[in-house]
Amino acid sequence: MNQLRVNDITVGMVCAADILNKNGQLLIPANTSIEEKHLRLLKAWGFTELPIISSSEPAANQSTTATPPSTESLECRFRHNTPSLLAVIEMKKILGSGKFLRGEM
Amino acid sequence: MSNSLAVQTLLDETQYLVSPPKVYMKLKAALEDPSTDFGDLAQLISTDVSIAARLLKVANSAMFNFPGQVSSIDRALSLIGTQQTVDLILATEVLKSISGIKSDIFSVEEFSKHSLGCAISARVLAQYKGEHDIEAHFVNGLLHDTGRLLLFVKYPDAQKALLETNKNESAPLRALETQQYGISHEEIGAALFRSWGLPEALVECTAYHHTPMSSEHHSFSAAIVHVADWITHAIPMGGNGENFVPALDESAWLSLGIPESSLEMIMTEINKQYNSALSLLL
Repeated sequence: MNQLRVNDITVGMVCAADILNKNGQLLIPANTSIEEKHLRLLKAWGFTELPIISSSEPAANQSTTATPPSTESLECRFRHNTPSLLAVIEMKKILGSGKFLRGEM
Repeated sequence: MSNSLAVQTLLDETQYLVSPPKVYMKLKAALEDPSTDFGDLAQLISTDVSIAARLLKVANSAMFNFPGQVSSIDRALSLIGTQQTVDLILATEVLKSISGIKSDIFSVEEFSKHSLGCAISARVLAQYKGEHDIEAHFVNGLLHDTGRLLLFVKYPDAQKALLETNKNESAPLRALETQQYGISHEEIGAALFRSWGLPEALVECTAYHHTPMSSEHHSFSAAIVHVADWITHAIPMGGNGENFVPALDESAWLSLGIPESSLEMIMTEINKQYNSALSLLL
């Protein structure tokens, strides 16, 4: 995911995060495919850059970012944890389900 | 003795980077003065516009879910409680001074997110355990890694090398630091907070966030920060340089008495509050 300048954003790109105004109101939800009208509005609203997931094939890239971590990568990250601890087993199960994948900016 | 000397030297050379929380100090003194009333506190908080603004943002976040807009300091004080508000002000002041730090070798933004993630996690865990003063746990979580921040700023080259070793050889960053400097980031943070006269519970939580059961008087609070730090690394929320999820201390986990089956629900609440607080605090 990249922070792209509004001038470099084209129709079909996908918003990586909710776009809010200064009062916290939702303008464009995350995962929205940008349309021509969005580009006009973004400029009118005074945005200079936006977090963008992908440039060409939003659907394909989205599914890549939503892939849960592999068992190997979890085992590697948790290598300093005692594998038999119930909490550790539960945590790996939760993370492995892909429920807590986040689009970190 | 050489350890405490080394800590003192390090503190003398880095103190200017994170300033003692002045507004908090004044509020703490005011709280201890029996003649202080509600209006005096609100007045004191309002003297620092940026802190007052941050406090209102926090009061309006998903952390509290108050119905309607909290638009005045008076109202925030009465809804959140005076002691809790003062704790939150300590948090916002230190977070502000941290986010002003510049570094080429680590991301201050990621570090702030890690701190905030741990703060929210500690708060949610404390709430789950039915604790009264959950904002104190928020502060404990927020500040637990301040010692490492000082190391990054004071020894950028050495820390850069340790980050590489951590990634390549998988040894915990904390162990590498202790080997390199002869003191741990936990001890450094604790010494800083003790020198500022911050609450003893915060000093012990900072000193023992990796070894909570060694805390003499505050092992419960330290266990909360320990588990919060573990969750923050696991999800992950931000980063503090460490490439691996730190070891969960079995006794600490068991001491909290949280059923494993509740972990997912707790993490869901943490995630919700974190996403809301992220845009407000950083």
